Amino acid sequence: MTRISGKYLAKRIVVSYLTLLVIMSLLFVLLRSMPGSFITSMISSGMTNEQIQQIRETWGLNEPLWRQYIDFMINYQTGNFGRSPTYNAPVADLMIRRMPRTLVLFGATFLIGFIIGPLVGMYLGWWRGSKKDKSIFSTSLLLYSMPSFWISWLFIWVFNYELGWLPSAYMFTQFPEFQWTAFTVMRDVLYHIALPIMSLTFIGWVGSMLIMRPTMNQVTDEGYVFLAHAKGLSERTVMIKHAARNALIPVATGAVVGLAFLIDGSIIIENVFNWPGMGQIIVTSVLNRDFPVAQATFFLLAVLVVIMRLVTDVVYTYLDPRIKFGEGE
Amino acid sequence: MTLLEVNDLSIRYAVDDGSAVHASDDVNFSVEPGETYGLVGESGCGKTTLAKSLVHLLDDNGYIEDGEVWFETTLPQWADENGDPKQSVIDDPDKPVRADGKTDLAQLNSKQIRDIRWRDIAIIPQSAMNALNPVYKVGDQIVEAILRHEPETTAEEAHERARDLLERVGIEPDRADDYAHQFSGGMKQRAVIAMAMACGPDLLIADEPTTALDVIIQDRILEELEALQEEFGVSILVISHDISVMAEICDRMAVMYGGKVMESGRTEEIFDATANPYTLGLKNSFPTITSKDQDLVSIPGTPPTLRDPDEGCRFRERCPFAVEECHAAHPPMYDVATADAEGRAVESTDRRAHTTACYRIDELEQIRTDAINESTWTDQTIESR
Amino acid sequence: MATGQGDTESDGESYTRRWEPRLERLKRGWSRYSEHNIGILGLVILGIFSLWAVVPGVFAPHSTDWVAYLGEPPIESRLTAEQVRSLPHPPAFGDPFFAPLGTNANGNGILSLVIYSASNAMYIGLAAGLLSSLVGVPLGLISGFYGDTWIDEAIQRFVDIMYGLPFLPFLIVLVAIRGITTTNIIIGIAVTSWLNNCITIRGETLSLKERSYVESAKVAGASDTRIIFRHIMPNVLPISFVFLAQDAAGAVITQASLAYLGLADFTANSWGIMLENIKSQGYIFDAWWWLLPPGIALMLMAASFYFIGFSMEDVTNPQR
Repeated sequence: MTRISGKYLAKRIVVSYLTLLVIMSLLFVLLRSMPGSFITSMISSGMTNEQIQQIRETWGLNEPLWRQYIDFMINYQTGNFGRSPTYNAPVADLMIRRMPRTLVLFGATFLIGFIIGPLVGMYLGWWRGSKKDKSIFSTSLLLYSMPSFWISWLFIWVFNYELGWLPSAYMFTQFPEFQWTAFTVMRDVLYHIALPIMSLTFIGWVGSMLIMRPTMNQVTDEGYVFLAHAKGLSERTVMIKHAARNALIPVATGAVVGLAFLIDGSIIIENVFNWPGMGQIIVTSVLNRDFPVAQATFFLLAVLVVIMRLVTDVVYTYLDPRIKFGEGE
Repeated sequence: MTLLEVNDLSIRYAVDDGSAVHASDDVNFSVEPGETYGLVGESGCGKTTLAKSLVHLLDDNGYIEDGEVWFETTLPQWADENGDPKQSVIDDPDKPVRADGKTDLAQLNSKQIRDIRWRDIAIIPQSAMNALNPVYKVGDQIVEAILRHEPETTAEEAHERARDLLERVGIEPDRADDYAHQFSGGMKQRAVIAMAMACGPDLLIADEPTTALDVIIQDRILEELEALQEEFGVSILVISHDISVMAEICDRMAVMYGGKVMESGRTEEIFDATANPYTLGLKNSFPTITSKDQDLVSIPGTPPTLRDPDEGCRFRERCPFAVEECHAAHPPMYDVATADAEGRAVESTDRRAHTTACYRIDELEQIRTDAINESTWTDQTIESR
Repeated sequence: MATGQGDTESDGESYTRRWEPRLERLKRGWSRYSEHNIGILGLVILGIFSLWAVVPGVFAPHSTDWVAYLGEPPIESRLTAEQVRSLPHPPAFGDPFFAPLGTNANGNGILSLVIYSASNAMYIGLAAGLLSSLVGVPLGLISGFYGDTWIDEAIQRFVDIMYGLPFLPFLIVLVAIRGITTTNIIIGIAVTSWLNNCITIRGETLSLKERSYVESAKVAGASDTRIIFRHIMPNVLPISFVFLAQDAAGAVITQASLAYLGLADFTANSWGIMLENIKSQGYIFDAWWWLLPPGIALMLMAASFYFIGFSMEDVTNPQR
């Protein structure tokens, strides 16, 4: 870790933090600008006056707007997300339980997608214009055009409904006949996560491929690739060690795009497979008008994106030695 | 004993519409050990293609149509303990190895030629500035070449050698741990030269070694190449459009035009007894330091496209001396010495002699006198030919 | 600027002189575009969808209100219990009725619904694509033209922040709050999809403004606005079309995803809603004729935009 200077890292962290502040403000404005009263959407007919008063209290709706804004910003940064009326529990507790489940699903697809995508992109870019490139590229565009919930249904149809190989919903077996041990839990989760991951990576790898392919094609014209050939290195070595290594640099910066696609994808997938994560709860809470949960989920997903961007930033600087550390960008 | 012997080498580029670009046609030349050989001509004349084709480094659509490239080496698996080819390999009619120990590089497959690259023939590419990979340390890139061709070397030895090589070309050995972007342009160029010498090649191909460099650095690079040659006895094949650079460093040279060799011989012969209209024109278009007030005259017209060229001398469309004969076929190589002494055209088979491809070799004196006149070049009517 | 020569020139001549090079460029672009089979394929598919969108009645066997067994409205009788049990009905060709892709659970013809839904997808795709170009291109042009000034810095920081916004969650919250209407969906999609557009156009503008013709326009005293819109914009427009196509594809898929999540304008006909219906009515694995056609139509519509976009990218790529 000697090469990353603290100053550079600090600067990136500050920028990420500011990004979050702006997103939170946006969230605040969005919710307060709702047509009709913000509170009416959360009040159901059966509530007592006391309950309504409590809601007004927790949302600070009796305060002036600027006061509400400041309270909101402070509460969110201290992890105080309020209470959920539908779950009748602190939102923070809900989030703590749901977050890891989403991270498992998202992390696995992210890893697999960002291994397959650049690899395929490397081959297609290296052989750009060949018959193989053309057919694989157009096929992958077709995959990229499939709605993720629809392709999940097709997968469930084949692997669950027809073949009965894999479960199509939930994270664990609902009424297990086996003992819960660390091993069986692991196995059970893997068994349940297989189909969601398959469905999501089936189309999710294309995003990073689309970035890798043209940059790979560009570097094949570079002088160092010619020299690597002239040195007598094998085609494989030239392609992987010299060309792909350089083509990966823009992929790291472009990763945000693929990242967004995967987050969107995992929200859909969680709903299709009843995966009890953040993607599922954001939809149900929005439909149930449970805004404390909806806005906290939104906020935490934004945190996830910002953190992932920070990570890709650091990876990027590792990939490209031309970036001077500690001297700004 | 020659190091490299190129016989009737023809190289083509396939074009989408089915035609072929004749980048080089029936080219003959040979290079002796320790010699500096120059290929000179305008851009697009096929000189770079020719050099790259020796080790199969053509672009994807380029291929060797015909010809032989005999080189004094053999593949590791064909060599005996002295490094000479085994008798069994020489006797094997399927293996392109001659009794004198030379191998025909043109017949090697893509896997075999990779053993020849860098170990026997190293290239300093035209874009030497961009030839260093930005994501690896410069020293590691030299080590990579050493380990590729001498797998028995330990990593420490290879690193030591890389540092020595850098020092040898005037770069501090500690800079081996730097990245290319930390080097200046001239340093990058020298680092590539150091890399080229890493495996002790017998032939060094320098593609436009001085283009894109400022004059001071140009001179230092040329000196560097000469010093290397003296120290390691490596032969150098220099490619340049700059005839003055060639005059400075080459022992012998071939002047190329439109994929054909127009004139070849010792450098002094070519400059002092120029025997081809194209060479005369090329000389006119470059300044010499000695004659200050010289008017530079460029050859009117543009080089031919070389896409399925028709019969006839390649230069005839821009040549002020073209006659009827020139349209029929490209001229063979005539011996210049005989022509100068006896005034008659004799075809030459001696590739080391001063030869020229021009039908009007019997009128050499007249052509040389006329060629100095600017009007000879500018007044010619470009006929529709 | 009118010189004597210009005055004597006939209108036709000056017209040709102005348009000839552009037409020539267009022709060259087309010949390079048509090298790509997928580019042609994309145009063909999009052409068919456009026809469906404009004159669905010509292609569809019935209207969207047609009901199996009963026919076109006005419908006076009701389905018998036995008839209801047979729904969704698999493809039938005349016996007991004509529905080449079968019916849904309400007895509407799938093929007709698919054809009538094309206009909705087309509208969402093009509107979102255009809107995101309308935001992204000008911002990219301005940011690039004033590169390394505070204007550029401000725009780039803003883009940076917007990249931190999780796209679909944002859309979900936005649509839930502002109301589930097609317009809100389009606005929501455009709000986040202009970013790539802006960044690429900025990069292109940065390099274009160093070109000699821009320099000479500057020396000739042209205003900034004139240089940006008259000299730089025509050169970046082809690239913005690439993004328009890609954004359109993304919008079509996103709309379907929202519909799946229950966030769609259910008064309209759309492929996404057809798929939402098959889920909510529980026929995913029982009615392939209902499951596959809307999904394939969605896929082909998005793919045709992608095909066109990526073939166009090759035309705009100066490397070749």
